[in-house]
Order: sequence, then C-alpha cells, then structure tokens
Amino acid sequence: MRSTRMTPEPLLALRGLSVTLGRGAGETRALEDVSLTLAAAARLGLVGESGAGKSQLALAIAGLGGPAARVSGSIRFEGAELVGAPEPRLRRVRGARIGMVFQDPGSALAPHLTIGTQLAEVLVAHGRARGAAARAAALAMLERVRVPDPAARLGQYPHELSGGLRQRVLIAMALIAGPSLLVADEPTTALDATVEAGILELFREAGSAGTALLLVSHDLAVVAGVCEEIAVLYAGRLVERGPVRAVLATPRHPYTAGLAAARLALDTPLEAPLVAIPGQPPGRGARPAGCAYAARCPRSLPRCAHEVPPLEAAGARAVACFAPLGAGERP
Amino acid sequence: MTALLEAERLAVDYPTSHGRLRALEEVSLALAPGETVGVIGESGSGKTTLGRALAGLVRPRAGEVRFRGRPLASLDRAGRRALRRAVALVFQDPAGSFDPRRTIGESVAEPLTVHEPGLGAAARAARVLEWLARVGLEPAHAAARPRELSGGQCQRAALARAMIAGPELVICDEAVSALDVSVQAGIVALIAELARERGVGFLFISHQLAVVRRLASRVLVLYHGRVLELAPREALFGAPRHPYTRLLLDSAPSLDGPAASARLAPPDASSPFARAPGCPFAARCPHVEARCRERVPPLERIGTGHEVACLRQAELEPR
Repeated sequence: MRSTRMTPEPLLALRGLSVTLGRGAGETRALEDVSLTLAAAARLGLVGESGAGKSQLALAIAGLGGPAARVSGSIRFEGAELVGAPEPRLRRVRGARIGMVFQDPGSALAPHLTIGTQLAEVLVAHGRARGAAARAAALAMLERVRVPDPAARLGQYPHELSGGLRQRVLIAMALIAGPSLLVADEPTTALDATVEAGILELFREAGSAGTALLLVSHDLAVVAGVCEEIAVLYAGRLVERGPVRAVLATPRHPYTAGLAAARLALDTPLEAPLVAIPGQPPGRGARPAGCAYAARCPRSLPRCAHEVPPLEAAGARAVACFAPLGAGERP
Repeated sequence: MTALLEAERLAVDYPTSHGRLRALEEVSLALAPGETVGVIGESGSGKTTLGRALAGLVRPRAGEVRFRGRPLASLDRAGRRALRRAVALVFQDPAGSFDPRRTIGESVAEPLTVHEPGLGAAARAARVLEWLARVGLEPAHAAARPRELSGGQCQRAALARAMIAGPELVICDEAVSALDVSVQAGIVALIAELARERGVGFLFISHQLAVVRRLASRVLVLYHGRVLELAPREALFGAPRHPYTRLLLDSAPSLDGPAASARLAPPDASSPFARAPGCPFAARCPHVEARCRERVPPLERIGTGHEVACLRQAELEPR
C-alpha cells in the first residue's frame, strides 16, 4: 500500500497529533490522535462545534499553542518535523512559510503602527526585503487583496479601517512573504456576509496561486465555498474527511449528517422540520471511553459506548464510525 | 386593529466623541399583536437601535414610538410598567445576559417579582419550573449558575425569563447567532412554537437570513439606519426589489458553493458620521444613477405590505 517513492511527501502531514491542556487533575485533551495530510496548494476545511479542538489544531500547526498546550505526535511540514523544533526555527517557519489569519482582525494588528509599516515589517523580519522595496511589496499586496485606495491605506492605522478591510490587511500580511501554507481560524466569523464573500474569494485565489489553505470554520457553507476537502472534528477527534461535495452530499458519519441537517438555508422548505442534534458535546474533561458522539447519536451501538471507532479510509473518504450511513441514508 | 407597538418616522442619534452618530432615520414600523417581524441588515445598519427604541430604552431625536396608541414619552409610571411587562428582550450573549452570582431560577423569576409582586414564593417557584420545562431545561437547572450551562441552555433560560410574565412581544437581538448550528435549530424551533402556542409576537433581529425567513412573516431591511425595503416573507425572499436586499440574499452562505455576491458590490467604506445625501446605498449600488445621489428615495408601496425605497425599482429585472 505504501508508495512513498511514488508520491512526493505532502506539504503538511499530521500523525497521531494530540494536544493536552492544563496539568494534574485539571489536565484535559483538546485533540486526540489526529492524523491528516494536506497536499501543496490544496484547500482543506476543518469544521466542528465550539470546543471540538479546531482552533487548537490550527494553533498547534502554527506552533502558537503556548506553554499550556503540550503537543505530542508529529507535524511534518515541508519535509521537516515541527513538534519539538527549537523556537528560532519555528519563528522562521511562521510568517515566512506558514501564514496565519485569525478571527478578530482588531486584536491581531498593532494599534500604534501604520498598515504599511506592519506589512513591510513581515518582510524585514524574514530578511526578504527592506526600505523602499518592502514598501512597494506592501502596496502590491494590498492591491492583490483588493483593498480600495491602497496607497493611502499604507499610512493609515488599524482603527481607521472597517472590520472587513482589517481582515484584508491581515490576509495581505499572512501572504506577503509567500508562504506555502495559510492557516485561517474563523477568518470571516466576525464579518457581515456581504463582506465575507469577498474575503473567501481571496482564499480561493491564494490557493490558485499555489498557497495551500487550512481553513477552520464552524460554518459548513464557508468551507463548501472555499475548500476542496473537508475534515470534521468532534470532541477532539477526526470523525470524517473527504472531498467537500461528496461529504456534504452523502455524509457517512452521523455527526456530519446531523450538522448538515441542522443547518437552515435560504432554500430550506419552510415546513421542513428543524432538526437539532440533541444534547451537547462532552466537555474536554468529561470525554467518554468510547465514541464521544455516542450519547447524541441516533445510530449508536452497544460497542460505541466503550470502543473508540478508528478512522478508516475507503478511497478518498474516511470515517470513524461503527455504524456509518450508506449513500443517501438519513440518520 | 391597534398596533401593539408603532414607530413613526423614528430618528435616533448617539452622541460620540466623533460627533453625532445617526443610528436611525425616518423609520416607521407597526407591529400587530402576535406577529413576528424580522429585521435584517449589516452591522451598523441600526437593527439593535431599532429594537432598543421600540422597547423604550433609547430616546428618539425625532419621531415617536407608540405603545397601544400612546406615545412612549407620554406614559406615566403605570404605563411604563405595562410596557416593560408587554415587551421582553433576549440578547446575543447567552451567558452575559445573566447575573453570574444568581441562580438561573432566581434570574428567570425576576420578571415575576417585578410584575406579579403578590405572587407567593411557592407559586413563583412553580412558575419557574413550569417555564424551565417548557423551554427544555431540567428542574435542576434552577439551582445552577449561568457558567454551568452551555450557550444553548443559557439561551433557553433567557427565553424562559422573557416569557414568564406573559409578554406580548419578545425582541430577540441576534438571539441565536452565537450558537452552534446543531443547537441553533432547537432554539429556532422553540421560538416558533412559543409564537404559535402563546400568540406572542417576536421582533427577530438577525444577520442570519435563513433563520429570519423561517420565523418572520414580514421582514424589514435596514441600511445606514434607513428602511430600504419592508415586505411579507414570500415577497422579500422570493421577489426582492431593492438592490441592497438582493445583495444580502446573494451573500448568504450556501452549501452549493461560493456566494454569487463576491464582486457584486464593494464593501461599505462610508463614515457613519458624514452621510452623503441621496440613497444611502448609492455608493455600493450596481444600478446607481446620478439622481440617486441627489435625494433620499421615498419608501413607495409596490404591493400588499410591500414597500421599497429605490428610484429604479420599477426598471430592475424582476426575479
């Protein structure tokens, strides 16, 4: 089965990734044994409810989990191991090879520095350019992310920009050093839908230009609009992954199916029943021995209560469930 | 029938360090008893201010709000008390809307202590339990603190608190926006049931169009504090007339792929402190003409209950 000689190493490969938060009695697992790969220039969306571990995964890849987050397993990026790598090397990777965009564009920009200075600073910090050349690259980048009147924006401060423009500036900062991977955590959640559509288009464009994308979102539609592949996290574990159209059309994990069914759309028939998923995900400190979804799952079997279903691949798709849905089957 | 609440040519300003922020201009809306009206628009459109003004929480610069035909400004103490009982509020932040030191039961009971002071402790406790059960919570939740509840449970408790003293209107300001979709559907279903079985009206303010469509029989579209369109649900979602309404609908995220609106209209780059004359949407409108920038288009009635403020609405392709 393994054909490492034939296929080049993926851009990003997570293997058995776990993230533990807290210590002693307060120790909890944010992520449990997550394995997935991302090819160069591919776009993967990571979805799940609050507390599923989506942001912890993004932070772990960026090496930004902080001292409280203990990472085990492996994160290979561009052929090198990131887990346990010395901080100076991680700093070189961050920003230069992995660009990052987070939800709140307000707090991610320094309030006392102009937009132009902050953009140029990324290039200076990574020894890519300085002075007038860095300034020119900053201007070109603002044009690329379609910030209106970019020359004037260079001299402005973050508070002078709307939320949507600040998010465009952050994307410009994340892309200016030409990273091979962009990690975006809920990048449009704080924005109006009219603004969101334009931001999502930038992510699609970055992918076309060769930058891979890991997009974390609670919104299936955001992922459907941007990504080729989707990965579904539940209570810290990966429960399903595959091509986004296929997974949304015929979800195999009952949780994925529940998420898709709970979502209201503008074309949902008004008389269609509103189907919430009963209950709530177990807290990080109260994960059951078996499948964490079993207590909410309409298809759970006795073994689900004490055995964790492994993520099993079939073709392009993978699911971690003892009673997966067949094609077209409803939970 | 007399409207329960009625705003007439309402204008609200907020004084700020940058000058007067015009939050609402010329907004008129009548809410019939028991009807659910949705309010949509981008952030900064004045949605929240409209809800607060209707509840009597902000004083208008011009125009007025009437409660059962009486201007709010003229209400005496008893009238204001009746208004507070008739109009309840539910906000976005589930946990933040509860006093963290009080139990859920104490918070849910609070409207009763205000509006039914004669009620004995046992009767009050019974009403609390009845309402907790009605919104899908357990009796044990009465003794819990807000931090012990999930976001969805807090929002259920907030609905119990809003409903317990028998309001006629509940103003929900982004009440389900912060919830996970798996939980949101349950709260939307609960609101629909409460509206139906108790005959209570809702003013449902939300940026989530699909949720508004599900709950509201009429929808108001606000932009820069002005009403651009007001229509029955079928007309607003099926045959929207204002280019801004169309932009909002085209921007709604869909599982079918990227929203069509990505390049339809530039983002709003105007300042709320210096509004240009003319149509508030002119700077972003793909159909703008010179005359649109000269005066504010009046709201025109174009069908039953359907009003739109666009000089070019008759020329635009129907859809």
